[in-house]
Amino acid sequence: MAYVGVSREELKDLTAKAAANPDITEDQAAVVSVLAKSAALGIKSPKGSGLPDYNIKSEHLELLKQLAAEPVAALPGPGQVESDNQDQDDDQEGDDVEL
Amino acid sequence: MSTTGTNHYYQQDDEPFFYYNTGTDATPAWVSITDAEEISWPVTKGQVERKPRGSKFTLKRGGKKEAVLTFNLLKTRAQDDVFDAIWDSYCNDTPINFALTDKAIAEGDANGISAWCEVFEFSNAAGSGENGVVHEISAEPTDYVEAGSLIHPSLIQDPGT
Repeated sequence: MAYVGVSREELKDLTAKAAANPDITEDQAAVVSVLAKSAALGIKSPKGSGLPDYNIKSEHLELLKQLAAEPVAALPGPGQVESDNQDQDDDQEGDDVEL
Repeated sequence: MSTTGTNHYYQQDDEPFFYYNTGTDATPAWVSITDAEEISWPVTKGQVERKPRGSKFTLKRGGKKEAVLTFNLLKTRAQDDVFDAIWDSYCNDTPINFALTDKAIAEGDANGISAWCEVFEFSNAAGSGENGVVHEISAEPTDYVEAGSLIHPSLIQDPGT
């Protein structure tokens, strides 16, 4: 089982962004909820020790990063742009018929 | 604390890493308990004797394992979530997940033990004002259930060993 170190600020930021992702599944939301609850705890950062505030599973950090980055990835891609053009074409065709 | 980066071969007794889990077993978030001292978590094993007639020796096999965790927690003036979690485990029988590893748990090749425990001893004392306040804590594995499953104590083992 591989763990990775993460700071409290990073964990709070990632869980907040991940929780706001509209495409999050129920299982993913459960993981994000637990980690968000951990990040909200007022732990004392072991300053000077060089230790991270939290150590979480690497797969969970990957999940958080993926969910936190999802809105950027969900920007209209080439397919969707083409689809919009298709709608415009349809409208134009409709106009032609009326003429 | 760890002396990562030094050229020493042997490990010092203040180097092992001691954590508690602020998440769940499925979604752990380990926090280092930096205010603990004198941490001891020996694992012992019961012995079952076999005395076959064909041997002059008593042969032994391992029985049930036990793991009694003891440590001292230095009391801080500020609010301390570690103290709160341990106190809650003592007062309300709440399971708390501890881990003790030989290296930082995130280093990947750490070995050690992790278990959901219940705190059974929590000393309180007030001295003459010369010493810091130390709580002597004792905890042992308990029957923690998560998502309908009993979570057993586990040995954290470097996959390469």
